[in-house]
Amino acid sequence: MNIESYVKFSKPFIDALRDTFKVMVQSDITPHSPKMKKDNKAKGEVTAMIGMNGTVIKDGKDQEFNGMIAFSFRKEVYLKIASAMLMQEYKDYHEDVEDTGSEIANIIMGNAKKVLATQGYKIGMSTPTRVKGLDYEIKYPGNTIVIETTITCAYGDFTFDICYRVT
Amino acid sequence: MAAFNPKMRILVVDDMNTMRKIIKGMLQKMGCDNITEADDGNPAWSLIQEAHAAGRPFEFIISDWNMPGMTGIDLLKNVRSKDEFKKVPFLMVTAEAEQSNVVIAVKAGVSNYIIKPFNPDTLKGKIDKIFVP
Repeated sequence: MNIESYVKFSKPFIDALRDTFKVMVQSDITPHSPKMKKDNKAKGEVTAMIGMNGTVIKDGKDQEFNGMIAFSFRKEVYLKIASAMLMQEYKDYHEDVEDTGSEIANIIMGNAKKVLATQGYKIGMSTPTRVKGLDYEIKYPGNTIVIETTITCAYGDFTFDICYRVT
Repeated sequence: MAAFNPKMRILVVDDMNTMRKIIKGMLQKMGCDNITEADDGNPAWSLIQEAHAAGRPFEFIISDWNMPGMTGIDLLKNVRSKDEFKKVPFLMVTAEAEQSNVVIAVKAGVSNYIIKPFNPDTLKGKIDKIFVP
């Protein structure tokens, strides 16, 4: 799959991210140029991931596909985003904000799914997962190219990774 | 349906702490202070029955759709299957914006439906449409 296909596939996710941040984080976002990720390392202390699988109509036939999106945040940025979403200031990790990244991933996937359905994708969502810690190796589905996009919001930068493959 | 009373007993069901806190915070800004949380449909269903048996039934349920144990739609079906809960207002919250989901929820007897992301005004608008005096 070439980068153009990825960009087209990524667009509903970026649009959903923009909408979610505007409505729930009260921030605009600026996505930077997407690039191919060269390793599997998370780029922040908090990473939220959600898998997807399903079918896509390609060349007139239903074909199976799977993929994943992941968001990685530095702790400081994560806490500021969580504080904005929960309308309460969090200066350190707290159980209230443990799954904020997962909730963002869940909302993005749910909204992108609707748009991708109009392009022939029938997507099943997995339950989001999250990890904390630097140098975490994200387990992307095998044989996929991962496209990484740095996103700037009012609280700093974070990364958005997306990968998928038709099987 | 009676008008919305901020003092009513409200149950908020979501497996995500974040979303429960967001909804609770928005409700509190609307003056609500009698809010119970549940992190899945199973404990929610137990709480609904226990509260009814104790004579302090929940008067409004707000539930997420996708939860790992009992989903929001199954919770709604359970609620609507019992005469004592048939008229309890039930607001479904979901990240899945597809029309087919709305149809499923409406058929199951949902009172209203809100798609994430949403802000306090949107939540209030959805609640106002349920509690039309």
